[in-house]
Amino acid sequence: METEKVVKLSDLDLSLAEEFIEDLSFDLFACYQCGTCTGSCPVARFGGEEFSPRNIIRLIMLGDREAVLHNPLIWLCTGCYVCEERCPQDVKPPEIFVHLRNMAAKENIIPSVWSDIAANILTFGLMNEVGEYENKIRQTRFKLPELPTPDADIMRKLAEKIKFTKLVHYKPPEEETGEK
Amino acid sequence: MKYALFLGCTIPEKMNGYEASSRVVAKELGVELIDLPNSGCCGSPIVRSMDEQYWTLLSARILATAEKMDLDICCLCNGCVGSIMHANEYLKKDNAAREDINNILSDFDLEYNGTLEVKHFLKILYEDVGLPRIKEHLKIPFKDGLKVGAYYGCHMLRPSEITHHGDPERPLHMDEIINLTGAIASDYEGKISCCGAPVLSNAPDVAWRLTHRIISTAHDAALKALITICPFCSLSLDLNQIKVKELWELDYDIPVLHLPQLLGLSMGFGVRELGIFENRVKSAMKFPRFLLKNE
Repeated sequence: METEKVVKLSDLDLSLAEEFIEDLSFDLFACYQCGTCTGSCPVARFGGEEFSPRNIIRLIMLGDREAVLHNPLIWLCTGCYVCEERCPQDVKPPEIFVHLRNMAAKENIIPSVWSDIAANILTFGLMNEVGEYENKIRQTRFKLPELPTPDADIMRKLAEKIKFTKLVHYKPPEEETGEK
Repeated sequence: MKYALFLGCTIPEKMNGYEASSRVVAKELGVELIDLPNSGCCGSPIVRSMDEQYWTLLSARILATAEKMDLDICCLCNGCVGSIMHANEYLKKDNAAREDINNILSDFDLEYNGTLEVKHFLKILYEDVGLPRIKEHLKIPFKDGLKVGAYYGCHMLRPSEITHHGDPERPLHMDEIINLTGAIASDYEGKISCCGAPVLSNAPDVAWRLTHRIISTAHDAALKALITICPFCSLSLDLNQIKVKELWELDYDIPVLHLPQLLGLSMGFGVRELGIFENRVKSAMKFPRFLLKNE
């Protein structure tokens, strides 16, 4: 972290960590900051960013909501799960990152390219459209069957039902007007 | 051996050669793959990052569809298998959660009762087909001493409490399959290091550095190819090798083949049937020269 911040023990807010304990299947406070996660992390070692699962877990334990939810680094965990395999206390950093990102999303913080991917899924049923052209390539170049049409309609209705469409500010593409 | 084939998003869009070679190899080995209708996205780790419940719903939808067909699911993609296995484990163990999810799905005449297994194609090859039977179908071996690297990717191995598939840090099952072809699956430092694909869209620089680590350590170990079994790994190592080569000014390249392409060559299928012309590092096209018959 670029700036030093003093947290007085008397002001310590443990509510953030408590939220994690309620929602996850393990005790975050079991983390004794050994750093096995950061030492095992490919992003920390080779990614060229000051990414450290250990630091993020510490910030949660210190209750610094702002410093974790608004931290761009929380979007860098690739979810490779090596840290989870190695953690001597069965703390699961990738699950912590998923949970943090879900919390951040509720506060409107989502990488914009990921909202775009969500919009594609809601529109086409896939991350990217597989349309007539792609199907032509599949059939002629690779002798593959036509891809069964994804049921984007059901996927979108499910999303509406649990308000995922709202979470990612989904706007359906404008209905095509006039001739093609 | 009959499975519902779930393709996901990335294979039909970018990795037709992987799909084509998988179908060829499955057919040769007597694994029947029935396409799942109307399948759509598994949810993927990206959706999970935004809303875990929607992610579970999307995977549960696929499980419910396959359950109607009474078929276990075969995935070719690590991302898909990770998501659907995770949802499967969760819905099997937690009755209350299954009820909640089924309540939401019931509007669409879908219900999942937790009766299925979800398997990566590699797991089907290793556990259901088995090494002896694969060996019987490999007619043309690769020349002695051809060193290649197995690249497993993450989500078929980890988290091991969900995948139950091989050693999460020292996997060997793909290595054993590769060795049946006469090629020698060799270790290299980047073997279990993440390819970077999950952050490629939001942090490409980070993803490219992770890819570079794998390519460069494969080169250090004098490997003649990397063998993948996931479209995202292949995207990172093959398609993005061009970018990595430019950024790090590399004077070499390493062809990347999907495992079914390697097996298919040794079974006697051609570059065309196996879709190898699609692989981006073009030396992959010349890979058949390492087969004994082409000497």
